[in-house]
Amino acid sequence: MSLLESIKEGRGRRLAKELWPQTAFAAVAAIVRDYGLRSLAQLDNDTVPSSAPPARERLSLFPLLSAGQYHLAQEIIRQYNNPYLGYARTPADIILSQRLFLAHPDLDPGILATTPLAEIWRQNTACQPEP
Amino acid sequence: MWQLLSGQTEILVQDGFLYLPLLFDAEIAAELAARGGEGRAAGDGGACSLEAANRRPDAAALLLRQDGRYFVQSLSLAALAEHYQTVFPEEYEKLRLALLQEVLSRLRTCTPVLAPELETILFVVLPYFLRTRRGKHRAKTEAGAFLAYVAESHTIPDQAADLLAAFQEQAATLREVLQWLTARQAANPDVPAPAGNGPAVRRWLRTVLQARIIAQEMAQVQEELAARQALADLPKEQLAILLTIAARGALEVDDVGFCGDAKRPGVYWVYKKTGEYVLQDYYGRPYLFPDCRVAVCSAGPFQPVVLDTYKHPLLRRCAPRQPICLTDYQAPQEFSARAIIQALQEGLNALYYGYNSRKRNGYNSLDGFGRHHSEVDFEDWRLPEDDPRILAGELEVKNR
Repeated sequence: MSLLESIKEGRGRRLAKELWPQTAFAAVAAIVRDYGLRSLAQLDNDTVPSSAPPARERLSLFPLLSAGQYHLAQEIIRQYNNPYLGYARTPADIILSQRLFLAHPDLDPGILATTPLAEIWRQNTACQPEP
Repeated sequence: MWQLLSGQTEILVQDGFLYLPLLFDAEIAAELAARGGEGRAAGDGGACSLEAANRRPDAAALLLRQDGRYFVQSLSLAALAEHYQTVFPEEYEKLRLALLQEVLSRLRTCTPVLAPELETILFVVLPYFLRTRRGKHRAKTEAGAFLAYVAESHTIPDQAADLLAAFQEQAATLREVLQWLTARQAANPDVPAPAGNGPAVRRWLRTVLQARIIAQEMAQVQEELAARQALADLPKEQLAILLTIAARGALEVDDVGFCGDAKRPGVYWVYKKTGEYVLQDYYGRPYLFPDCRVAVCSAGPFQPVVLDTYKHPLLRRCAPRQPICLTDYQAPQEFSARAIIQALQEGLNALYYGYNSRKRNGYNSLDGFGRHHSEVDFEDWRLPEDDPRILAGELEVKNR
């Protein structure tokens, strides 16, 4: 690479827009609010209300929750803390994110951001060789 | 707003402010923890007037604590009532219509005799061109002088009696409406700021807004009655002429006048006629320009146009309502008598003196030089150089 190309590439990298990091709190807050979660047990028992809205494509940058919802969100983050939690979009994704991280801890963030966790889980499970 | 006050959202009211449940994120929770759960308990602080509460710069009063829950200060009730009309104009209008339902039909029949623009045109712009403050028409007021001037040249029309009767009837109706409003105001005493939750605030806000609407309407009706009284003090024939002008929406006196825009009600074209004048071309040959109306629209833009189908070197083609080509003229942005007068004078000066025969400026030249660029031909307006009207001085060559 010539010096000129190197300078251009460096500048391009520096000026490129960076996505706002998707925090685990923003993801969990959106789920708690959209699905009307009231307790941690709802996740464990899989008793999430069926009339839930479709998963959000974009999360709120600065989510705000009522006191009860905030405490529940913090409890979920403490219970299921893992680097993939920020990519969860449904209550099932919260549990799946932990399993996915334990099974495949080095997934590409680009794939995580663009593909549903369930789909990633299905693909990676299908690719595994039969024992 | 009414949704917020519907009772579904829990609201506390203290010291004239609405307190809404505090929402959390990690930063707010950390800040609250750092403050050690600081915040006044709900009910502390005692009674406080709305005005005093509005001025209070007390940051510590931002949080209220009740049963372990936190509420954060939001709107001031006084500000909510004061700015409600601006922030929620549709809801305010609905409330106004519902409140004034009983007198609305009567109020609608009593529109102001003169709209503010029409008043400016009649009593400032036209007198400026007619010079009514000079000579025998001098009067104490501009309106009186102008109407006396018009009364001299116009006969009182037949429908004047009907218009006068309608004028007096409307004044009586307005007085009735004022009585109704006064009674309604007396029935609504001042309501103190509510101490309760959502529905109580809603009731309070509705009452305060109703009181504001009544006060506003009373002020408007009183203003209209005062304006009508000032008109009623005019001599009868002047009042009849004024009412006729207002009903027709058009007037012309001594080559100055105004007329309504056919497509836009309430918009007027103020015009001044040029009269016949002569311009000469590069070779000194005279051209007779017929009379036309240079006009300015009261709704802007305040650029002079020629209302009639007309041709001139400073007009692009031969068509009605063409703007006059002006250099270095910054049109004012807002309606005022000065804007109209200035634009009319600029337009007239441009038609009379704007064309330079040597420079052949403008869109078209009189003598046909460079005709391939021009759609307009002035040959049909050319006069013989020894025309008796020019020799006698009846027609002035403006660009000599």
